[in-house]
Amino acid sequence: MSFALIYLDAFWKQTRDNQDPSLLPIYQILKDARAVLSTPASYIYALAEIPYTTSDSVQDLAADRSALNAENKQLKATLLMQSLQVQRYAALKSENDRLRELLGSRKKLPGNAVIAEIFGAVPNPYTRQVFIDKGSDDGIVDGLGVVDAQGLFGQIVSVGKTSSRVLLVVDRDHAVPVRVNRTGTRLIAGGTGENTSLLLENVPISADIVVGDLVETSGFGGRFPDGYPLGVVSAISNGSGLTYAQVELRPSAQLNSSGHVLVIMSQRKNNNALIDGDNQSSRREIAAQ
Amino acid sequence: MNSGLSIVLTLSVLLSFVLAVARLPGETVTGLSYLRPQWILLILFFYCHQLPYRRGVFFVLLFGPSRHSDDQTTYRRGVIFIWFFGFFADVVLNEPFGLNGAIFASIAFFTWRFHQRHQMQSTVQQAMMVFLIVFLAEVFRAFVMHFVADQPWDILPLTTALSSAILWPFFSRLLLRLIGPGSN
Repeated sequence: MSFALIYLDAFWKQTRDNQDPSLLPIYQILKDARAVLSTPASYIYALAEIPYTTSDSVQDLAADRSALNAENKQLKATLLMQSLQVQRYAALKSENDRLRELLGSRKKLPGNAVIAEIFGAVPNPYTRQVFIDKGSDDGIVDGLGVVDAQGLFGQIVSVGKTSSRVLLVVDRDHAVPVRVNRTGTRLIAGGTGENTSLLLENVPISADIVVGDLVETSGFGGRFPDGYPLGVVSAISNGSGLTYAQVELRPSAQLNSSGHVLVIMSQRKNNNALIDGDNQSSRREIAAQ
Repeated sequence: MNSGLSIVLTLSVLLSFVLAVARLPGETVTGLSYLRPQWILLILFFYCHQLPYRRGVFFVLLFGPSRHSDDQTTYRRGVIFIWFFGFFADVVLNEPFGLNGAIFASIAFFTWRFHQRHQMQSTVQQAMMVFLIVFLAEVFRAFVMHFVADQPWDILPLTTALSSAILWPFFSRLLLRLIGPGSN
């Protein structure tokens, strides 16, 4: 019975060609059971985080007034700069949408986002996942992209009522369609399992990529919104004997920090994104669960 | 089983889950994760040995009304309960449904089958038994996770079994002190 459950939970949704429709209700029950149990599971993670939250609170209490004032000034300056950028962004977005309409393109830049706080990390050495404090009550569904202040952070892979699990971009089972900002070359970036590096997959030896190139999401596959920075090329190896160039990226997002992230709300309301997705990233993400 | 034991049991099970997912600061996570003892399996192993000697309301609620320690129906119910409890561990540890149920139920079955023999073993023999059980359980977990999520094989089952076995004498002595002597 355990083996049947393991098969159903881990494999059945991947074998799309041979799916037995009579097993769909069982799979749905397993999915719902996981969503229900993930709420008490999130309390376990919250309990495990108590030493860190307590230490942060003590640090806040112990912080002196002058340091807080200095930080406040710096934050105000940053906010002012970003307000300016947001004003420009709003104008550019509306112009971009208008131009796309003129061109007949249905694609639009993504709209709103939900701020979430990271409150736990999965301690398994083989996987890179964190918990955030927003769930289905806040409109979160499977497959939504997650970004932080610097770049693409990961994607939602499991949703509970009040919490969700995010698979980080550096997880070895994660892949995301990207393009090189300078040349527009489209590629796939895969995780390595290390928090500090990503790899571009199947890069031709002759591809025009240099160290320092910015790599951003291409929006292909519909999973991630277009144009979010993923990382910067940090090393290239294209010596003789290699079939493909090995291109390493340094992720833009602060993956070690336990602060706040933004969940990019999708335009489509599709809860079965993981089943219906038809791109390489979705297949690998399914295997990651 | 008195109410004090119920409280210790509940809190220790909860604590074992918290310790199983607790992270260490910064980048030390990856290195020290290999030495993390299998807290949940240690707790399961300990209570599966102790519960047959500590009957009470809680035990009857969980495993049935029988008062005979060799009653197969009682243990069968216990194994089924523990198999279902594995679902929660599956969600907490982000593993496929059924994996922890199979591990927990197997450990509970063999522990209840041989609990009288285990009571006569020395601490070192018990630690060796813990090493064997945790090692086999983790090899099975690694096999399934390699199969379903392409996780790489490495020395984790060995290191985690070793740290669990080293911890066992202190762990069991502390818990025995907390729950007090048992009676059949």
